[in-house]
Amino acid sequence: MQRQRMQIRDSVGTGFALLVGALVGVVLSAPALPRTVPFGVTTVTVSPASAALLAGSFVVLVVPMVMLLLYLLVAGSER
Amino acid sequence: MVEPTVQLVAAVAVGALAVGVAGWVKSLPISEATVPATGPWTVAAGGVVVAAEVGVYDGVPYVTVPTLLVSLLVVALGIWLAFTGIAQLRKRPHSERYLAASGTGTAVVVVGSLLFTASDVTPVRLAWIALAVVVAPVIAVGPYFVLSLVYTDAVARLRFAGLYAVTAVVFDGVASAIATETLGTGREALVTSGLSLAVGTVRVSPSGWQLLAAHALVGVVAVAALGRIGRWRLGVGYAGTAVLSVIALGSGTAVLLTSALFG
Repeated sequence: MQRQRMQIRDSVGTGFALLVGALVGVVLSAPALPRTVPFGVTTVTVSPASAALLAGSFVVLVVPMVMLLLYLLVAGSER
Repeated sequence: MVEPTVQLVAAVAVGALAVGVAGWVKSLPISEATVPATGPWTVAAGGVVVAAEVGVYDGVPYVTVPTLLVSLLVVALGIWLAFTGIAQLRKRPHSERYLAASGTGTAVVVVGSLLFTASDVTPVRLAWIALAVVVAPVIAVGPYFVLSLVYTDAVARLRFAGLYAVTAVVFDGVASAIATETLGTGREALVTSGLSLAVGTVRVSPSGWQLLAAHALVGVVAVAALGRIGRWRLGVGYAGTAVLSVIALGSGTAVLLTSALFG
């Protein structure tokens, strides 16, 4: 049980490091990010800072989801 | 664009300085696993250099290639040290995974955004990138195996870190060969520039693919020397291996991405 707890903490820590790295990547890529965002039937042009904020939010949502999915797959296969 | 000779001298100076500092410091928090864990950050650095060269940061004040690389080094070390601190609180010494994971996150986003902005990206050009990633370790294994027979002590000390460094040097050669021979951009990575200068002095001009043997030899000799240094202090051997692989892989990545994505 203790070992499993440690493994879970390691996985969460690694996922969190991945998330932080991805956010660094978003900051570095901010000038290259697309500025036009689809909004309903139209598109909205946003500033570079807003584009980075949107991309960062996307990363914050997606990376934990992917990590959780991978963790569930691994945990399921071990069982 | 800085002259290749200046880049080469700067890379050698940085490498010598890093090994010197590593020798001066009594104990280094660096292990066999730390060397390949630098890989993703190195790829991210290569991607950032490409972004700077194609003008992504034009108009952004104070952003130059040196400031970007130093900032990236500081950020990578900062994230690594912070996560290592948290890992030590839980008495988990293997903290390289955090360096590799954070670098992977950065590299994926940086290289992904380059693919998005690239003008000349085609499936064939992407296949050349994939080929370089596959071919380099395949070529590197043979000479490293021979080194293990000739100078077992070096391989026994550096183990996978040594193989990784040889692979990085060979990748430098593969990337340059693809850039010059196949894509015709004429760009060469750092180790290739040095080798081209060296063979130019004896008035020989081999093709990029023919130079691959020289790359493998350089990688193996460098790892043997670092293995010898590792007998004195293992941390210094690892630090030298890390610097060698970062310089070779970073330079190769920048050349390959620039040539394959932006022509």
